[in-house]
Amino acid sequence: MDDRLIGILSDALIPFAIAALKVTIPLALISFAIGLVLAFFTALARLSSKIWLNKLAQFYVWIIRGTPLLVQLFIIFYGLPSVGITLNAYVAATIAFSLSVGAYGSETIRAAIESIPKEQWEAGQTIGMTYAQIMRRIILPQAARVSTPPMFSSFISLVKDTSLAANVTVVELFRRAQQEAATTYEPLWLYIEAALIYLVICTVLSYYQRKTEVYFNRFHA
Amino acid sequence: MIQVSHLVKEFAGKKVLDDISVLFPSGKTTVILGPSGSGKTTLLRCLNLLEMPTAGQISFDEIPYDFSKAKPLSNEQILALRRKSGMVFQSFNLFPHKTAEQNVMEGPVIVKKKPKEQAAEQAQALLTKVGLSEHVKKYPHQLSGGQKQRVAIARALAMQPEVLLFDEPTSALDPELEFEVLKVIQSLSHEHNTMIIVTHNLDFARQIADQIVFVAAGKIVEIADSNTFFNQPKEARTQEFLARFKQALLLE
Ligand SMILES: Nc1ncnc2c1ncn2[C@@H]1O[C@H](COP(=O)(O)OP(=O)(O)OP(=O)(O)O)[C@@H](O)[C@H]1O
Ligand SMILES: [Mg+2]
Repeated sequence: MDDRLIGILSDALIPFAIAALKVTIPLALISFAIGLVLAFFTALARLSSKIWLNKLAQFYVWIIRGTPLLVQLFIIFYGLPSVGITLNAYVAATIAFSLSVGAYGSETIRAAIESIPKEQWEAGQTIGMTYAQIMRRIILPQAARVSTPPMFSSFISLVKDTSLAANVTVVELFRRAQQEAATTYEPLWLYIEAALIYLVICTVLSYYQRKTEVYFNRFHA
Repeated sequence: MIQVSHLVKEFAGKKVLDDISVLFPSGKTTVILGPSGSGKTTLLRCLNLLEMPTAGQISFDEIPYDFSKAKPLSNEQILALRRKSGMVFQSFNLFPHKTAEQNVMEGPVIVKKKPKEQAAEQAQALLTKVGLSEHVKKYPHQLSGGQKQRVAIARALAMQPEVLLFDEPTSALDPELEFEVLKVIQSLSHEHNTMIIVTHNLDFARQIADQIVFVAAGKIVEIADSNTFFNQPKEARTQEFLARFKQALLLE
């Protein structure tokens, strides 16, 4: 590696870090937060005995899981303007990512809720708790523990998937790397540098996953 | 006092409880005996509506709940009926993410809206009563089976139910741990709690029961006081059941 290359890479570090901190990470965090709420209510809808709610949730999950995220992103950003809905690129990306987390996450949460033995429901019922009380105080805390690893996996996937937003003009980390590579003709090292930044973010998330698991395992042998 | 009248429970058209009528007197301990699959668990679970009876009536202190009507019970009715009883399961079913104390406090705080400090005091007292004053802050996985079951008993007691239901409370326990749980149940019986106990432990039944209800194939065969039941059973089916038990004793 010569001095010129080192100069290019270190010059790129600050803009890359800024793109990661100002765009990639907020995009991932906000989309995940919204997606989590969406996932939770979709899971509840899937568990509901109201047929139409159930069907609606099923339909949503079916559409989102059955089509590519990139295509969804294009439909929202490039497609919707032709029916009069023009969205800011960031907003479009946030919507697409949230819908994705919501759909996949709902299956994780539903499975976690269903994995809690029915005896836990019964124990709550025998002390007179209502459905909502049992769900909130008995089932969800235990389901949260079960769904921690898969939900962190979704989160980590999401961080990497935010790079798809480069295709709809969002200047996040990967788009920034493309710009840098185009002017300096050093795609190999610049893309590796960008990859390493993703790796750092995901490593931090893995660390928090472990901490969360330890927290939940306090009540589990 | 709990009066069960003409109770029927069907699972997929199969009658598991067939025209059960029995009175559980207040302040007394009733033991339900019967062969495996005779419907003992189902009967207990019908009393707190973990299973919804198909037909018949259950009255708690003269307040009747009728299951033969076309209109099912409302959610409020179901909750009201459930809050009259406490249940202790064979498999304990403690809340694993809550300490012993939190398990006991859950009902009073969340259902009865008792202030936390008061509920904590009550939990402390109940856990002391069942011999667990040292273990209030432990999670279920840190307790032995016998200790877990005693927490479960304290949890049921905390709601001050009119009746305590026990479904084979010691069947999942090693014999050495069984004793400590039986002792607690016995002391509750001496305090004149209304209790209904399903057990396969006939020695325990003999000692604790004021009344014994013998069921077979979903029907009540015989209702008698403990002494009569074990010494002068009327029904051939009961005699056969007890004879088989005596044989099993000889084998041991
Ligand atoms: N949820 C259910 N669905 C279908 N059949 C059931 C259900 N629960 C119980 N049964 C059937 O009802 C009958 C009575 O079961 P129950 O568990 O009440 O018997 P038990 O007297 O408690 O037996 P044991 O001594 O083995 O615990 C059995 O034939 C059982 O297979
Ligand atoms: Mg049983």
